[in-house]
Order: sequence, then structure tokens, then C-alpha cells
Amino acid sequence: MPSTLPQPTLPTTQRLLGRQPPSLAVGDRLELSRRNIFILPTATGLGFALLLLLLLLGAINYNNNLVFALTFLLAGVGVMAMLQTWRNLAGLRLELATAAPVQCGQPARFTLSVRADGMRTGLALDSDGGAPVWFDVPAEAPARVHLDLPTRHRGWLRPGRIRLFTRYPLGLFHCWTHVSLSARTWVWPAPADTGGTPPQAGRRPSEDGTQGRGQDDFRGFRTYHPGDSLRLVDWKAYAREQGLQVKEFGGDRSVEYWLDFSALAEPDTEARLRRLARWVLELERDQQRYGLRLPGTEVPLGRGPDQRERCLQALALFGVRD
Amino acid sequence: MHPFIAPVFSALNGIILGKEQSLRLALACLLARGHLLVEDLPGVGKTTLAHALAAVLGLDYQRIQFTSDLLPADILGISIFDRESGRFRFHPGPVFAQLVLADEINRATPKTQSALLEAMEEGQVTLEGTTRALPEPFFVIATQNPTYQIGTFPLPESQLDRFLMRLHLGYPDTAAERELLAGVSRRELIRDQAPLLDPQQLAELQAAVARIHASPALLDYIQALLAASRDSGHYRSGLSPRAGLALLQAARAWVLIDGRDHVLPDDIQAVLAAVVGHRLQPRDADGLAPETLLEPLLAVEIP
Amino acid sequence: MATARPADWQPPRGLLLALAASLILAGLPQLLRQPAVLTLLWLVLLGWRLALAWQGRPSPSTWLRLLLTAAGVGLILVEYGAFFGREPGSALLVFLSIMKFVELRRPRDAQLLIFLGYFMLGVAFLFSQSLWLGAWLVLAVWALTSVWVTLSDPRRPLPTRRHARLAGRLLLGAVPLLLLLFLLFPRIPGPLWSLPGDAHSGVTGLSDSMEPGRISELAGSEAVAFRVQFDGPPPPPAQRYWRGPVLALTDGRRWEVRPVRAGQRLTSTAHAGRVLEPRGEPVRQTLTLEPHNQVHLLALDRPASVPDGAWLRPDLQLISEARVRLRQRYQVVSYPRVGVAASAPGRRDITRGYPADLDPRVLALARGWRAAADSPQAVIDQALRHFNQENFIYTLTPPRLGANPVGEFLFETRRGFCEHYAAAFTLLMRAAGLPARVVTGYLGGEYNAAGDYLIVRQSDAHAWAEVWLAEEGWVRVDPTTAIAPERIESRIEVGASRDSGAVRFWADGTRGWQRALQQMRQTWDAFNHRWNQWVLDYGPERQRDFLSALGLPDVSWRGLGLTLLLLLIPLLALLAWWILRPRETARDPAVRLYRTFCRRLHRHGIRPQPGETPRQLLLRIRQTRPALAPAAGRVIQRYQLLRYRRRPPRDALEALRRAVRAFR
Repeated sequence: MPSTLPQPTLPTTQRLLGRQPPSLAVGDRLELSRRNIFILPTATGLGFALLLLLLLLGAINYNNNLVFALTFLLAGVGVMAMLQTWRNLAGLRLELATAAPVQCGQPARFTLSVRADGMRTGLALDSDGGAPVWFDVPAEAPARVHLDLPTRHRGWLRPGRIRLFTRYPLGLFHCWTHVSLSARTWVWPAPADTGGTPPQAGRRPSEDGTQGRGQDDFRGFRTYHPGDSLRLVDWKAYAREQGLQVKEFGGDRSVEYWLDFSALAEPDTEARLRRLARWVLELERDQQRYGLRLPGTEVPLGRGPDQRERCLQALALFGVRD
Repeated sequence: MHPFIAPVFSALNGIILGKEQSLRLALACLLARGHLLVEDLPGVGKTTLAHALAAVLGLDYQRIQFTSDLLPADILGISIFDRESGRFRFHPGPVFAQLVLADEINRATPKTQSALLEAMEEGQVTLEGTTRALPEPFFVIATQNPTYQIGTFPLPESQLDRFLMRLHLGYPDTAAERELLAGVSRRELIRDQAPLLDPQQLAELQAAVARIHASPALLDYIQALLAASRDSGHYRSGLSPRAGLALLQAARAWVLIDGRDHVLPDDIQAVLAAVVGHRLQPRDADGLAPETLLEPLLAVEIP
Repeated sequence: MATARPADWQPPRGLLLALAASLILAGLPQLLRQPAVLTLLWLVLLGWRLALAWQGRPSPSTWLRLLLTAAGVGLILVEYGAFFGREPGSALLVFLSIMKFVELRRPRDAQLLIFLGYFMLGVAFLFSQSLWLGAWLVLAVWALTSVWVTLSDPRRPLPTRRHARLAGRLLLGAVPLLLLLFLLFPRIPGPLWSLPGDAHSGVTGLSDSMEPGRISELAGSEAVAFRVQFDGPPPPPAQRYWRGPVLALTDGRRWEVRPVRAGQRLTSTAHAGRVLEPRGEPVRQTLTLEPHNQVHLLALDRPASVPDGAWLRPDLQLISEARVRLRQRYQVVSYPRVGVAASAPGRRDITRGYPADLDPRVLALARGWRAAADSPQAVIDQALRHFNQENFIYTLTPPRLGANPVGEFLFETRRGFCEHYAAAFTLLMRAAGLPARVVTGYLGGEYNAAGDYLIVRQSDAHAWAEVWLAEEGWVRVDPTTAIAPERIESRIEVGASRDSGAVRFWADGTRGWQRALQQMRQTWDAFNHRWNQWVLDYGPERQRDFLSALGLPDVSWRGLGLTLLLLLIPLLALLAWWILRPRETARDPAVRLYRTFCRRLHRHGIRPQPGETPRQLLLRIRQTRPALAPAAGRVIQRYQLLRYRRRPPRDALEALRRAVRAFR
């Protein structure tokens, strides 16, 4: 049904009424009140009005009281439907969660949690031009609605104005509200398709001598994984029927990578950023230590999720104004 | 307060001064069969806490100082060939004690850390194909230095989840510090302390924790907290179902100490910081400060 | 998510079934009324569409549907012979709705079907407005609305109980508005445009003329002619003569109403005094007349007052200014006995005339009586004796009569119904020189104890005579009573009378079950009567009565609109408040009580904070408003007991309620 109904939205309503849509920040609560809910009849609603008019004319002409009764009953149903549609939105409490940073090209997911003082049915959420997301709000728990926004370029992504609407229960009325979301997340450049190997900044003895892997010091055993060198298998343990164990050696040096924007050959800034993004993801996957140098910013050496996030953010926001 | 626990608690209070709340939480952690992570600067009494607990509860006690060259075998134990009997004989490691203090756990390599954590999780040690049960009760107090030093391995988030609680002891207040300075050496106090509970009683108390009633309304509250941690947008990731269980278990133990038979929302709030503090990270680096990290959860409406 | 392109819309089977069922329900009266072959074909079409859907096949192609539509329309044309008019129109509506169901390829089609369904309901009421149909209306509207709710639910395309419940709620909420609009929407008398020719066909009743066989035909119908309520007790059976058309003109076969000049109309009760002199107790009655598409109104013999919109003929026949096409309700005062008022009919008055070709035997018989009698009354008595003693038979199935019906009846067939006797008697009187006329109407009526009124049916139709006597004026003489005196007290048992030849009468309550059956019939009729009175006949007059009862006499159209508006606004506000009111959603009564407590606390300036536990709240009360603490403490302690203890004591909820009530 909803996909075919014409959508009598008036994007200018707010401007006509001179009101700004209420804004919702991350962690805030917004309760939809009378003042920011709009309602208009749909095409179905107009058709229904025509039906009522026909029935009324018939009732008057034939002086038929049961047709009068039917007409008035249906008119009452229409009024009830209007109020119900209105109630569907009124009093909703919205809370916004920020979207996690996302790679360019993948959708950024903002999550809105919607609560009501009872069951609400047939609600929809959309942003400009996007397909609506239909959801219900259960009586006792909030509904979590995901708004997936397409990402087209790196940098900040702001969801901007969203629309919350409903036509339930009869589709006679379209009731909607606009909320501007004051949240943002950043989009990192899509990694380049081919990477090459990242430049090693060199080996450096680390402070405590325990990091990295090497061939020098025996550190212990671990179970065999396919792909391990057979030279490292502890065959004696195997003979004791203790399974395949691999000897591990710790290196006293660790490998470090400095990812430097200005050292890259590509002429295009975006292409360089994409290559750097690819390296960051690869190095993090391999649990290496790395750092990032961009003109004007530098992320010191490190590793782990935090390091990855710091580097990707630097790449995402390079040259981007707030 | 529960009649068995009151003397234990006052004895502990006599040894560790001005830390009533932390002591109570530590005790609750032990009664809930959880493990405790203490994150603090050196010298604020972490070791004393562990030692005093062991003495008061009559538990045998082992301390493992974690260093970068500590190997799993140093903790778990090792089989050595015995010439006389002509067999391998197992020499149990320090982990085979009822109360283990794992000091500065973040100094050892992840491999060694995980050897301990696995033992904690499973209550047993598997070495060279043989499974050996750990003693009962088994309680680990791990300490971690909060300062991010080079050459340390902070426990990853997934491992932090294995500790029921994390405590910050903090500096004692002036009066307590004064008494500490003026009074008898803590070590002597601990040495003179006679056990106040026998293992039987301790086991009974631990079993009683599970019998504390948590009403449907209370479970609703826990679920509301979990949902809020996932929905609020303040945290990088929400609380896991395991965290929910931990919260309930810790609150039950807390109630047992109080001598009641049912959990109230106040009990949940009392243990909330200790139980979930180490399981939540703020989403943004510039987001919530550690002190206000749990404010969104404490503002969750109680159903 | 509804992402399918409209062209691909395949309605879910459950929805399709529900649609088909509610469509059949909405079209039920038409499906039952129309020729069975049409109904059968329509159902086959419906079943075919369902079968297609079950096999996952799309709706039939456009050309096939066009072909089928043309065939169906042709069939209707053949059956009814026309497109225009009530019957074929309704048949077409149902058929085209079914073709829409066969098409059904977009959600909009389903939406349209719902609207068509509602329209079908309206059309059905043009044929009948019985109580049953009223109940059916409620059911059908509910079914259609439930399917409509399902259509509008984007995430649950199948009908569920929740949809039905919501539809029920919408309908319930619509009732206040329905009542308000029904009572106050301005009612206009008369149609806006001319109605189709067959709008009033099929109504029965007395006509303004009489021929042998007319009334006996009418007497075969058990349909209600009218119902009467009396201000006092109902008159005894012997006086239950209901006066209808008075027939004075005759050609020997056909009797007709004598024309009246406009100046002779008695348009008010005061005028009525000119022609009659009431005697005895007046009988006040309220008649509810079923439409008969004629101008005459019925009243207890003899009417002495003139209702609005009617006038009285000099021969005391009530005439409505317009044909009675709707059920009509009016009050009349009648006097069972009246004295002389008008002057005697003139020497050449038509009440003395008889056709020139009257059977000589009739003339001879009448003149013989006149010669033998010493007074007009004796002539009458002689005539009645004649009917009683000769071999006359009272029958619903009299033989056909030829060119001279009165002579044939009196001397040959001697079998007749009341109109035969009345006509023969009147002509005999005229032949004997006494002015006489035929009066048609009804005799008797069944007393309905359940509703305290009389039901008069078409089978009670009757004809009698009036004879002018110089001292008494027009006197009623019922020759039928000379042959069948039971006719006055009992009702004719139509079926048995047809079979046996002679009229049989209902024997009142001979057997227990018959009495019970009669009582049930009467109760049902009483319901129907109320339904008619309060629902169907609520027209301009009743609306005026209702408004003056509210203290708003003589409200103009504009005033009515204003009143409606003034009442509508608070009603809508009330509805809006009801729907939008904050709901107490907590299922646990303890929580509801606790929230009441929190609202009361708010009045004291203490507002529970989010995340504040009851205990913390109590602490805060102790610190800020210690005077409140003891009472609040009792509430909080009991609330915690109920919410968090393992097995709260049985009376804990009651204790909490008391504590909350005590907290002010």
C-alpha cells in the first residue's frame, strides 16, 4: 500500500509556517509535541470524502435514515482515523545514537530509538529521497530504527533533516514531522584496490625487547596452524602424541611503518589518501605498529583499534573543514 | 548485615582503613564467585587487600608478580621427569591456590595473561593433555597499573569482561592515613588475624547468593540498563548479556552482605560502577569523562 | 518493507480471502434478492480469482476481463430489461465490484473495493430498512473496516485480530458523532431530484376504488398496514373500524371516490365540527402508517380532527396533501359515535343513485322490502336478515362475476368477500330509496401487549356500508357481520381460508405453543415498531419535536447548523482528548498506584528524577520535606514489597492503595 500512495508532503510547510524543525542531538531526548506535527488528507482521504458526499446525497434524496446512519458512521470513522493517525506520532520520544565511522561507499547507519506510551503501528522514517524504513513501536520497549545513509565522499557526514510519518490506521491522513539531526560521523576514504607494500620505516629495538616475532629467542609453543613452517614444528612433542606444536621465537627488534603522504607517487590527493587507507587497514590486520604523516598532522606510532581509528579519522578529515 | 559476614567485614575494616565501600564490593565479588581487577597506583594497598581477605576468610594465598618474561608454565605449573620414580611429576604452579593475587598483570605478554584468564574462566587447568581442577573456592585478584607505559600489554576488552568487577582503591582519607601512619604494621595485623569463616561456611554463603530473589520488575530494570547502554549512543558498544548476568550476580552478593533476601534497584546501582565500568568505552575520545561515564545509565528510568 | 513495484502486487492469500468475504457480506442482500443464476455466476467469478491467486497466477488479462464484464452487463440487461432504476442499478454495482475483485492488481484496487463495499451497503438500504439489515450494517462495516486497516498496515499484510480490534475501536469512537449528526443534521422533506420510476413500486394498500375481488386479493397479504397507539385503552373490537376511502360513485361494478371541490375541504379540526357532532368519549390515537403510495390516511371511524399536512373530506375521509411514500405518523381524535350534523343528501345526490342497468331482480327485492317495512331501520334489518338466512357464504376465493355483478352475486353465486356484501347491500339500500355508500378500510387489529399498540395488517382490509337515517345521520352497517359475526372478534387465517373455500378465523391461543409463538411474533413486532419510530422515521417533524424537547423550538436551518457545530466542537475535543490522553501503560497495578503517588509528590514540589530509586526518593523527602516522610515512607515500603519481594503478602496491594490514598 504505502509504496503506491501519492505522498502529499509539502516541503515548504515549515517555511510557510515559519518554524524550524526541532533538532535532536546525540544523547538528547526529543518528545514530539503538537506544534511540530502536521497532518493532511491523502488522495485516499479525498476519495473517502467523495464517497461520503455521494452517500449523503443519496440519503437526503431518498430520505433514508439508514443511509444517513451509514454516512455519519463512516464520517465518524474518518474523524477517529484522523485522531488515531495524529496520536501515532504525538508523544513519541526520540533518542539518537551516532553512527560509527564508515568507509566511503558503505552506508552509514544512524540509529534512532523511538519510545511511546503504548503500541504504535505503521510508522516510517526517511531522509531526503531515501526509501522509507517502516517500523512499529512496541508497548513496553523502545524501537531501534536504523537509518542507512549512503556515503559518497570522505569527510563529515551529517544526516540533516529526516521525516517521520505515518498513515496508519486507514491511510486517509498523512501525518508527519521533520526533525533535524545534529549529529555527524566521519567517512574514511575507500581503500585503493591495489596497495603494494607499505614502506618500512626500519627496525628499531624496542624498549623491553619482547615485541614482534623473529627467529632469535625461543618463547614457547603454540598449536600448529596450516601455513606454519614445518621447520618450526616440535617433532618430539608430536612423537609424545601431544599434537603438532610449533616453536615460537621472539625477535628483539620490531618492524615499524611510517605511512607518509608526501612520499607517495600518485599526483592525486584522493588517490594517495585511498592508498594510505588501504595500508592502515592491512597493517592493523597484521597487528603491526604504524604511524601516519599527513601534511600538517601526524599520528604517532602505535597499533590497536584506537590507532586504526586515529589514522582513519586523520585520513577522512584531511583538508576538510568542520 | 548478614550474621556470618558482619565479623568478617569489621575485621577487614580494621586492617584496611577508610575503604569500607571497596571492601564490601570486593567481598561481594568473592561471594558471587567472580574475579576482581584492581586498577590503581602502586602503594595504595592492593596487596594488603588480597592478603587480608585471604587471612580473614582462611584461604590459602599465592602471589604472582607478572613480568614480561613470565611464561604460562610459571603460573600453571610444569611436569618434570622424576628419575627415582621414572615418571613425569607435576609441579603445580602458584595458580593452584584459593586466593591468587596476580600483581601487575599487564606487564606479562598476552599469552601469559590468557593462560591465567583461561584458568579463571574454566576453574581448571589443562596441561599436556591432563586436566587438573583448581581449588574451591578460587578467587583471583588481578592488579593493573593504569598508566599507559611502554612495554605493557593492557588487557584487551574481551579479557576485561572476565573480571566480575573492577575497583579503584584510591588514596585513603586524611583520618585513615593518619591511623595508618600511627598504628601497627598491617603485616603484623594480618599475621595475627585468625580465620573467621571455615571453607564450609564460605561455600554456603556462595550458594546462598544464588537464592537471593530477583523479581521480574528488577529484571526489567537490568534489561532497561542493557538496552540503554546499547541505544544511548554514548558507548562504543553496548553491554553484553554476560555483563547483564554479572550485574545480577554481583547485586545478589551485595544483597546477601546486607542480610536481605531480595534485590532492589538500589543494589543494582551500588554495584553498577564496579561491574560495568571496565566493560564500556566512550564512543568519542572527547565524549564522557571516566567520572561521568555511567551517568546516562544511572538516569535510566526504573520500570 | 513495501518495495515491490505496484504492477507486481500480489495480494497475500489471507488478505484476498478477507476481501472476498467482506465483499460477499456487503453484497449479501443483493446476492440473495437477484435471480439465483446471477448470484451463482458471480460467486464462480470470485472463486476463479481466488483459485488463480492460490496457483500464484496473476489476474486475468485486460481483454478477458472486458469480455467478461460485457457478458455480465448483458446478462443483467436480459434479466432486468433495463439499466436504469433501483434493481438493475444495484445489480450492476455488485457485479462491477466483483469484476474489480477479479482485476485486483494494485493496492489501490483493494482500497477501491472497500469503498465500493460501503457503497453497496448504502444501496441495500434503498430496498429494505428492517432491523435485521441494521444489524447486518454493523457487521459489514466492521468487516470492511478491518480489511481496510489491514491494507494500511505496511508491516502486517495479513488480517489479524489486532486489525479487527482496532476497526472495532474506530467504529465505537464513531458512535457519538453518528448520534450527534443523526439527530441534528438538517433533514429536508422531499427528494432533491426525481427518483427512478420503480422507487416506490411494490407497496400495497387500499386503493381509491373498489371492484369485486380487490379486497379479497389484498386480504391475502400479512404485511403491516399501520400500527396504532392509544392514549387510553384500545377501543373494544366491535369499534375497531378503520376508515379509509369512502366510495359513493358506482357503475354497478366499480366503486369510486366522489370528487370534492377545493372549497369543500375541511382543513382544520374546527372545520370538521361543521359536518359531525361528536358524541361520547373521544379516542386519541397515534397512527404509524406504512407507505402505500396513495393519498388517503386511515383513522378510527370516525375521525374528527385534522393532522398537519392533511385535510378531511366532507364524507369524513382523511386525505394527505402528498402521496404517502414514507412511513407516516400522525395523531387523530376519533369518535366512535357521532350525531347528525350535515344536512341530508339531496334528492338527486349520488348516494341515492344506482346504475340504470341494475338487475331488475335486485330492484324488485329492494322495493319489496321497502314496501313491507315501516321504517328505514326495518329495511336495513330485513337486508341483514336476508344475508343471514339465505345461503350466503363468506369466502376469500369468490367466483368471477360477469357484467352485472350484484345481481349475479345476490341470486346466483352467493359466495363473496366483504366487498361483495358491502356493494350489494349499498345498492339494495339505494334501490330501496335510502342514501347509502361503501366505506373501505380495515377491521380489527392485533393487540401487541409487548408494545401496547394495535397492529393492523393488509389481511384486515374490509368494506362496509353507511346508510343515511334522518335522525342519526350516516349509520355504519356491516353486512359481513350478518354472514360471519366472528369477523369482528377474530382475524382471518389466510392460508386455511384459501384452501377451504370458506373463511377460517384464528382461534386465539388454543394451544400453548401457539400462544408462545404469537407472543414472540408480537415482541419482535414491538422491536420493529420502535426501530421504525426512532430510527427509520426520524424525519423533519421528529427532528423538530426533538429540538423543542431540548428547548429549541422553531430552529431554522441555519440555527440547526449552528447548534450542530456548537455541539460538534466539544465532541471532537472530547474524542481528541480521549485518544490523545497520556496512557497509563503499566500493567502492574502497583506501578500505577506508585505513579499516582509520584504525581501527588509533584504537587508538593518534589519531582522524582529519572533513575532515582524509591529508596533514594524517600531519603530526599526526608531531607527536604520531613513532614511528608512518614506517609511517603509507608507508600514506598509497600511498593518495594510488592515489586521486589519474592512472595508479597496477599493484602499488600490493598495496603499500598490505602497508603497512596492516605498520602495527600
